[in-house]
Amino acid sequence: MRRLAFADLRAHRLRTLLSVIAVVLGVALVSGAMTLTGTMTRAASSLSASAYDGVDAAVQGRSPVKRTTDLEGASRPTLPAGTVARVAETPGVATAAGEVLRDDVRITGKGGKVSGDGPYFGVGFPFTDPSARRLSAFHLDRGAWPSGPRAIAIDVGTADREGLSPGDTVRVSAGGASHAFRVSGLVRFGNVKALGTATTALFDLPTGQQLFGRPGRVDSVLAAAGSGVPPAVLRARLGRALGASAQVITARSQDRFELDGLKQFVSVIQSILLALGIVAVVVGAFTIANALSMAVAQQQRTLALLRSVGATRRQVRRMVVLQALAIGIAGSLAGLVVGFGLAQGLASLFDALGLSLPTAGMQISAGTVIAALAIGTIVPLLAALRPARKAAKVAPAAALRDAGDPAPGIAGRVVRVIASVVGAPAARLGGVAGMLARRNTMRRPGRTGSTAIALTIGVTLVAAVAIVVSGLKGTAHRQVADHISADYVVASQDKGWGPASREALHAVSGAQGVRRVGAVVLDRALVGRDEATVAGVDSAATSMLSYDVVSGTAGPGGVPGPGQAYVTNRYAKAHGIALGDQLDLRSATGKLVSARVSAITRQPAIDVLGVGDVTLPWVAYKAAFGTKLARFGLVDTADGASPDQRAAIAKAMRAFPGAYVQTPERWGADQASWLDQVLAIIVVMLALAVVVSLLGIINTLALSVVERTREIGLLRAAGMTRRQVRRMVRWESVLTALVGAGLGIAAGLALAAIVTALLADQGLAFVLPGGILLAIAFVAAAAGIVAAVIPARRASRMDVLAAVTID
Amino acid sequence: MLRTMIDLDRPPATLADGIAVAGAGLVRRYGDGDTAVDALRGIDIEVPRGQFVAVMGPSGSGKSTLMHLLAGLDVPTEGTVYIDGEDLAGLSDDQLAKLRRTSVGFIFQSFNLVPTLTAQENVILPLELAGERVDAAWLDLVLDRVGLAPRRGHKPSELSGGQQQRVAVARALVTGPSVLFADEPTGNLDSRSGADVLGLLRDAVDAEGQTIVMVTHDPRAAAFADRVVFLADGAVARELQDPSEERVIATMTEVTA
Repeated sequence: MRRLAFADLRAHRLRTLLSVIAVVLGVALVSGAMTLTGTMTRAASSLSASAYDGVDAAVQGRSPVKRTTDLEGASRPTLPAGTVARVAETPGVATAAGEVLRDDVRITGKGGKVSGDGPYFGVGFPFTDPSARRLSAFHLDRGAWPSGPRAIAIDVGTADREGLSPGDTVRVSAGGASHAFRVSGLVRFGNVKALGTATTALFDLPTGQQLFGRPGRVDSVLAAAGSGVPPAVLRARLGRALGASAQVITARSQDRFELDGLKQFVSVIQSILLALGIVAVVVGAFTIANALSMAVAQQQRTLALLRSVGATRRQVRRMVVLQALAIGIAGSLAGLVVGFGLAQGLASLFDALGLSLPTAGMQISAGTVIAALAIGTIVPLLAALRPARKAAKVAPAAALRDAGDPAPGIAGRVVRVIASVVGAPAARLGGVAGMLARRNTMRRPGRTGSTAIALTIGVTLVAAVAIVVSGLKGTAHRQVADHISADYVVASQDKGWGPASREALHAVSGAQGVRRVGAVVLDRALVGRDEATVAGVDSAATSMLSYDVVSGTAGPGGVPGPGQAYVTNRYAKAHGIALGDQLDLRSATGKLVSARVSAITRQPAIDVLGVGDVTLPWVAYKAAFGTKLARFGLVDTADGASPDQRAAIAKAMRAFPGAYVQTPERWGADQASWLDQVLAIIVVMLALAVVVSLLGIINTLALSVVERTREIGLLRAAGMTRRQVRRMVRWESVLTALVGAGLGIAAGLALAAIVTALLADQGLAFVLPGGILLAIAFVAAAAGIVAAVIPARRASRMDVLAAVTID
Repeated sequence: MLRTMIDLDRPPATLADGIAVAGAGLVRRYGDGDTAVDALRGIDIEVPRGQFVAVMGPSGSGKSTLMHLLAGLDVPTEGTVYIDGEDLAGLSDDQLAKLRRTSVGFIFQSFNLVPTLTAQENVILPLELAGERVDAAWLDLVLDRVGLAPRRGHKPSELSGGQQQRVAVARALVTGPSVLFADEPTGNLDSRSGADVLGLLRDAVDAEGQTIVMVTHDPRAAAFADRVVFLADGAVARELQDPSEERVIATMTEVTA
């Protein structure tokens, strides 16, 4: 039996090869994803080791709120500079140094544009002190450490990108207006040129304190223990010595360079790649199942013969399973090799995109090998179950019968109707070839369906996501259109997500034609035990911003009145907050604000305004929370939006690199543009699903062509040219693909309708992206044409004489 | 011996007048070297317009090979085939396909119809392949002649074997071909259905002047023809004009003896 199983695989090379390719694709994606992200994770860990391991204790101001970055750089309490000396004097401390750190210190290179995509690290530290330097994560690559009020060191990555070298001049802005600095040297972070797309600007401590607006203060004090002093003991001693105002933690848990974010980024990439792998594996499973079914159909007579000479059902079943196993093992091994190459290819792709992630020493782990082999062999085995059962059912007498077209089941009848509908234009356009192709797809609808289903899965996913994404974009658009009445929005570059400096807003208020400039300001607060983002809307902004009140009442001017607060419906639901509840909000600096919930506001599924979970009246907000950076500024002009007006505002902000001015519509669209990246990933999924399902279509067509040798011979005898034969096969292929796509679009519509209904309370509407759905159908049709190439050539090269004389 | 001789020096153009299909010096060899087998060993044949010719011979005599060569389904190793005076040797595969649409009709022993098409669709298939408009009156006439007008919408699987062969006859006749080739057209039919089909072929010759070349091993079928060519060992062994069943049987016995 084993010999027979392998002989059959060898005899039908095309079919075997296509099945193996299906496995290879899935396994390659899964193992590639695991290899790449495994390497990245290890690299990120080694990075945090080299960044933080020299520091045994990190001292920072105590704050009830854990994370303050991104929103308001200054709101974490700083420490007096004198803390450095107190730490240094504590017994067991070998070295101590103070540091100021911000993540919005933008470097403008020669091109006049802000370098990098953030975060924009700025560090003030006594770099010139050799003993302090062991506490730093940076290593000097070229030039000298920065010293003095006009000196800066930048990372090698930024220098490479901007073509800068020591001695050049750059402009640097720490939130406010920019100043000129001379590059003294280039540094590496640990052993890498740059942290992803981040940029780094290093200053000596006094310069940093001055530039970051923290004269006489430090953000943290870093300390190393003397020999023989365990770090934990050191931290305990420091805790006692410094009292309640300071917090002593490990450098890793402080994670001041947001390396956890890097790890999160890696895990997002891993999820995406694994999702692609799973799509490929699932679609591949259907392709393999189809191929094995075809094999069983083709071997009908052989199987019957085997049964009539005494093979048991079990033996027949085992033969099919054995074939699946061989396909799986061959595909998995090849897939591992391809996956390793894929990982390296992706790594250099990320590199080319400027997402330099340390990927040196890429290696396949044992876990990856096991997972890949398991997926690559188990999936084909599962796929073989049905064909094996079918094979075992072949009666010995079937050797003598000629099997006609079987009667279709319910699913088959559905497929037949769809094939008939999508085939109607083919019959009209394609002449006899089109008509015959349409009839052929309707002839064995079960087979058409099982071939098309691989494509259906991919198309379902893509159609559903495309519809939901279109709905989300609509939601984003409406949110801006309905709730922002300003002429312009001022935010920061990076698509307007970053905060805008209020200094920049102040500059805008002096621009020609500008009537008023308002700001929405955000900070983090502790509400009960949970953290929340809290917003303040200044008086100028109230008339340009409105809230979508779900329940309760809006205060005067649309914002909460004294002692009141708005809470979004999503935050209220997640934290069990109801209208009329009393909220106690504690700021990062420890101040307390109490307010009663006077309205629940709607936060849409895609919240492009992003004005936080809780909104406080301006006076109450201002008293407790940071106000230096605005989520965005709103600009009201005398004559409305116009290119000249926009230019005037841009001119007023020229001293503030990274500031951004747009009409509310464009700003909303920019902020929702990440949805297009989601769509891009989905398009990759579609491409993958299409490639895998192509294999299935090729398989089925190739078999159909062989089965119809007589029929094709007859058509040729009746005057069909080779070209017409090819056209017929091509149409059949296109129709099969369109049946798959049609089913997928229908299923996608249903899926999207369900998602939309579930998110209806978040303002998500069902939007039919006709263009995208048409594009999907078009891609499917194109895939059909590609899939038909080999079978069509086979069919057209068939020898007429041999075909008509077969008995 | 009424063997028709062809003067090979005569140009084919003049030969075409009155001759629907002709083969000159036809040799068909399979394989090469020591293992070469000659299926046909130099056959000359001419079929005048409006003649119904039956080709007979024991199996292996080369009768099917001869028909395949004359119909342009196979290429002779040596010799030339003319249809309507046109030398098939110079034609490309596409030109041959187009020739089959317009100048040649086929009826095979079995599997004559495309299973996914209805009777009528099968009949008009050559016209559709050529992209020609179908004349409804002509189609009605053809379907009527084979007695299938009422069943024109049926699929082949819903027709009897005899009905299927009648559809095949209609399809072969619908383009008004110069010559109709039939390969054992009654081989799979009972005698009554077979007689029906042969009657249709005979009618086409008598009423329309259709030229037919039919390969058969059935003396009764051959008796419907105007002339019977007997092959043995790849060569023409004998010919009969206006055959009767008895004379055919007698000649067959002589030839095989």
